[in-house]
Amino acid sequence: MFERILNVLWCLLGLATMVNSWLLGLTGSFGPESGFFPFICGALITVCGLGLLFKRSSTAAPNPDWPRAAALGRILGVVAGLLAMAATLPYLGFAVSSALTTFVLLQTVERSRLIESLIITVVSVAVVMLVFGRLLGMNLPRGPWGW
Amino acid sequence: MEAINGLMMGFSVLFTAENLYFCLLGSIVGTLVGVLPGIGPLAALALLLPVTFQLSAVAGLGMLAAIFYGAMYGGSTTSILVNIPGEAASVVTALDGHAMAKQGRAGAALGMAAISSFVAGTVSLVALTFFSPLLSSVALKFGPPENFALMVLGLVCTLYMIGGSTIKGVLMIALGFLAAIVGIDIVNGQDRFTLGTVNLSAGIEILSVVIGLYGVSEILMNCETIAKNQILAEKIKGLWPTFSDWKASWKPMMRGSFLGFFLGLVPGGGPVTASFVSYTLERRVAKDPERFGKGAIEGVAGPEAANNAAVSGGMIPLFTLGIPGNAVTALLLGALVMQGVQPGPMFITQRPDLFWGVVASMYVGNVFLLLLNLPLVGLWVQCLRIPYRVLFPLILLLSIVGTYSANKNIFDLWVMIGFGVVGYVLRKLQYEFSPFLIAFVLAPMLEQSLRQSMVMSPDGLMIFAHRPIAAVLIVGSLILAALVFRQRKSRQPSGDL
Repeated sequence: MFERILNVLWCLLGLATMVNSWLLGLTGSFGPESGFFPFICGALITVCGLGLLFKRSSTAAPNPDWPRAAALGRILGVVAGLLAMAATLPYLGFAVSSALTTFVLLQTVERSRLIESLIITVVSVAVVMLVFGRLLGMNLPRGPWGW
Repeated sequence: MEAINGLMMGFSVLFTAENLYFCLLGSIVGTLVGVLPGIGPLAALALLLPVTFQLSAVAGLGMLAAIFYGAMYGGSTTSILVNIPGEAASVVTALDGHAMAKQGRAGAALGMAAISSFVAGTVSLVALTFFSPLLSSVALKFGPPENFALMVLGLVCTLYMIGGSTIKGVLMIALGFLAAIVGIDIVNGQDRFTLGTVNLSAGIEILSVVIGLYGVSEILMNCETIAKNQILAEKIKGLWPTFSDWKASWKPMMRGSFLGFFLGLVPGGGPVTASFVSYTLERRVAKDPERFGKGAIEGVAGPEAANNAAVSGGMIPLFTLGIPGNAVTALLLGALVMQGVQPGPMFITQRPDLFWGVVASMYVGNVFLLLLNLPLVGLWVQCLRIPYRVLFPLILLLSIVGTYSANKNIFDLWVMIGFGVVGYVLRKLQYEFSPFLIAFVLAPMLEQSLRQSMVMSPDGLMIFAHRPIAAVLIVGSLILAALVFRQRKSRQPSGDL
């Protein structure tokens, strides 16, 4: 069922691309315009979406192994952690934001012990900051406290 | 003679402390990536790509190349000792390598894997040294129609080599094109598919795509299970193969070297395909094929030689034509472009220091890897004791830093997470990412060639029929495409990395 919905989405994406490309213009007096190449891509996506929709028996993944409750929880936890880190990075800076995310993920997703989580968090963040921030001179986002 | 002079220049460029240090570092990281399951060479390359921004082009590319072929060396260690391939190209090595380990011959299997890798790496590098300038001079005759036709052939070859559904492969190519089109059209300054946001005006950052698809989605896959590695407890001894091992292995090693090199040359081919084809070939030519899978040393020597040779083979179309044959070389092309270098027919002439410097670094890297993999094999095995919960936060933080460092833009992180989640779902539904990534990297050049071809011609698309080389390439692509759709049931194994 999920794959069928996805195939419909491919068709819609392809059609939207074709319409948008048409509006951009396909050909002009000096050859192909901005919409020419995307129009071909849109057409390909639509045709493939239709192909997947109508040839499901030969193209669909046989029994995709979707995660069950515990595994799904871990996956959603990691995604939530990444989203939280991306959202807080400009405000808290790399050090605090990454330390919080790593610690929470280790505690909730990996179910590590408290001391172990603390050590892994400190070492991981320190290694990344040392290598990228100091040795390679990259400007990692800083928090209101200057680090 | 020109090639030998070039190579000598390459060594003179390479022999600085910085270049040698990063070549060694790449060899170490590559071996580690190969040894550790849960992170592939492509994800590692993507994560470490930002490091190269701070380095000279030779040091940066030498390091990235060393990670790629280092992973081929390291992958065999876990295949042989633990029956867990560290990366996809070592899957077949596990069949006979682990059987040898169970018979108490782990040392011989590891030794032969390292020696085969070294021999094949060197043989294929010699071929790369002499073949690249030749192909480059031929490619100088190519205009936009020929370049377009060649890229189309490359994409069709990719479809031929991937496993699974061809329709899904074509769809991934089209999606790769679409993702690459996003941004301002450089020809007339029109916004394309930017959804009105200024963040997409410069296009989608390649690092967000690669780290999302290969790094984040891999983390999500690994989060499903909490795996515990079991290490073979016995002491590894007898790394140097016996006379009978040599006698049985030298022919598979040479066959693997040449086969791997040529499969690496073909767009869509690569180390994974090369190792599978080599294993099949060795079993077919063996007098007693029933030994395979039960500890035949030929089953280690051939595939290990082939996957290393394919790495050098894959560099040739990248450097001389500017066309990546697989996902890793697509990323290397991205790295070159970020360094302000455009590979293609003029690359060797315009940047001989960089081309020959990288080739020289691959020779030196091969020696580093032999030294790292034979005497230090015990150390690499110990790395398997590192639990995933220690690596997981580090990979996660590297994903964030790697993506952010390209443009210092938080928006890239959202894109990376989006590609990671979509990548996870598509992995589950057996979509392959290499056609997407190759299309993503090739799209700007492909579109430019198509536009230039059509501007050159009063007959529109008929220009591809009027130019002989382009016509042959297009006909070749059509025949191959027809074959792809007809021969779905008897497919080669996946070439994805």
